[in-house]
Amino acid sequence: MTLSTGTEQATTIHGSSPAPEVARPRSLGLASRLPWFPLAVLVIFVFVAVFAPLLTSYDPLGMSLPERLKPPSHLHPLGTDTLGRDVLARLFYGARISLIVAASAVVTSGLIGLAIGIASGYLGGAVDAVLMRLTDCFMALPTLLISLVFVMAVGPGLTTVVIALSIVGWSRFARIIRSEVLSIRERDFVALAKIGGAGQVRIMVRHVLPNVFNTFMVITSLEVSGCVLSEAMLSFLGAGVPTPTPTWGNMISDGMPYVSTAWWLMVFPGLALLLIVYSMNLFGDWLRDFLDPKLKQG
Amino acid sequence: MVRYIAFRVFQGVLTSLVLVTLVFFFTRVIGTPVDLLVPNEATPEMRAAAITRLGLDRPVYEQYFEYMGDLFRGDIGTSIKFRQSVVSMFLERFPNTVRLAVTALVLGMLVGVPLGVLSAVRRNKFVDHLVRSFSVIGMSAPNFWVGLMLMVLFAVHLRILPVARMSGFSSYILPAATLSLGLLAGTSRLVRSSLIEVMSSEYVKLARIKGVSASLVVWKHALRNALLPVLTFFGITFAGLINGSVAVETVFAWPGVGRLVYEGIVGRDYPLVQGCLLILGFLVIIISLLVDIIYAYVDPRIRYGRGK
Repeated sequence: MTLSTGTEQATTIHGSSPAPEVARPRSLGLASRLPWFPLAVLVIFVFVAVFAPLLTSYDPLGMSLPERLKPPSHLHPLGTDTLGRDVLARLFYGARISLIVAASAVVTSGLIGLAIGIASGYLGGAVDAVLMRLTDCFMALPTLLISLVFVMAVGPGLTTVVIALSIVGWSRFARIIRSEVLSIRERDFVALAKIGGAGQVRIMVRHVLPNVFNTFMVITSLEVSGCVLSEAMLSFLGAGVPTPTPTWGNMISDGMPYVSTAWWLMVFPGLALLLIVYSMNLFGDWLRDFLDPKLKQG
Repeated sequence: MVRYIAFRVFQGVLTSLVLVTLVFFFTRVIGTPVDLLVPNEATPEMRAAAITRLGLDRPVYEQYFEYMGDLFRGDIGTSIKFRQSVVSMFLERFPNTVRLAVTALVLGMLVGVPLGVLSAVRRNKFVDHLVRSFSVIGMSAPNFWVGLMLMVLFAVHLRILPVARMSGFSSYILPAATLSLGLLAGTSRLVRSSLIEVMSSEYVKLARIKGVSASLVVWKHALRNALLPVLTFFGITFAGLINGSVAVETVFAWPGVGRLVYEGIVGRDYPLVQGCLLILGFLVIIISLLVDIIYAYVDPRIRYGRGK
């Protein structure tokens, strides 16, 4: 019940001027405005990632030197790479890495940001000052390079990449959620809870948390595409999940020396990345307009 | 104003501290410093010597202060592979990165601002939809891949531009276009939303009532104010260009700092990569500090407001 009212007072926080584009009325219904194209792409993406072994008979690691660098054919729809591995199979299995890393990284950084944002906004005072200065620091730093150095220091791997992305990814969550909490803190139901004798932790968890949930979902959907891109970039630079595990990023970098001879090595993983990230961005924009139009200016 | 600047400088110093602490933490606490800082082929004696020299056998907090002291004296580290100080290697490559980044910046602004204006003026018309789709695609495309595709198209197939490496003016076109893509997309989006907001303000209405021509209102009265948020975007932009230059310089074999970082990764040259991160991080901090001060100077609301 309180979910939809949670953002009413947030305008004053997010920007001094009113949002120029008036929110569309919700009465039009969810289904009529669903972004079908991005949604379909994302469903297919998850489907492919989960059922990769059933969708292709090729082993993504199975080398076959006589078959190396074959252009797309009916045997290998997207061709084969330098070691004769099927590009389509590697693309399917690569989707798994993208999905796992992006989902884990966005959830991890989201939870960190959520905790810091709520604590900062609700507790205020010195806690707020310290946490927000820290958040500003992280927002100002070149994130990709920090992730790179972290991966180099710890050694590449799936968990390392997730941690590397989470270390730098939480700050935007913290910032936006904090500003949201600042207005929620002043609302009557929080005052009532206080009068009722609820402790600070209880108020934060039971009363504030549910009210920032919409905002949290919106930021998550907007940040996840950044995680996919960062993961691909780290892999491309050789600081991601190590070979021979296929990732879209390392598939592109493996294809780089053959830029003039074997175009299929790089075109398909890149297109897949573009399509996924594009769909995630469109879906995120839609979700923001639908759940939380006030964030538009943020 | 003085208070505001003091606050921003404080924030900058704090950010630098966080950066240094993070790097220190990665290297000495989570990582195995001997493996990271000493060449792989080193003998046990050399390793032992390095441990004493780097103070790795001492308590972590002592190491931390010594590390800070080294940085303060400008000792960022020595590359394992090139046996050269990271600072000198960085300085040698840096002008090339700046040239490329500035070209990309100019390109992004020259194309991004007019696109944003066009989009705002023809709001919800076909052109607007086109520009907006383009900007979402621009933000979604991995720049290293776009660079490779441009290279395949223009250098390999059409053969009208050089494949890679820095030479004359034509060698700038592909890398700068690639690097500016995200910036261009972001700028056009920001200019659009900012201009739409400004166009509904009282002084724009007044100008119209006075009979100022529509294009003059847009380009002179409205755009000036609409560009203010774009200015703050510059600080973030710079960090973005730095991040982007690693991938773009790698793809185009551009002899800049980004490529140096890549060579560091490939050669497992941890001190080199770590040093580049530190220097670039400091640069980003200083630039965003300058941008914020200029912004406060241009827009009195920031100066006299509550700060940020």
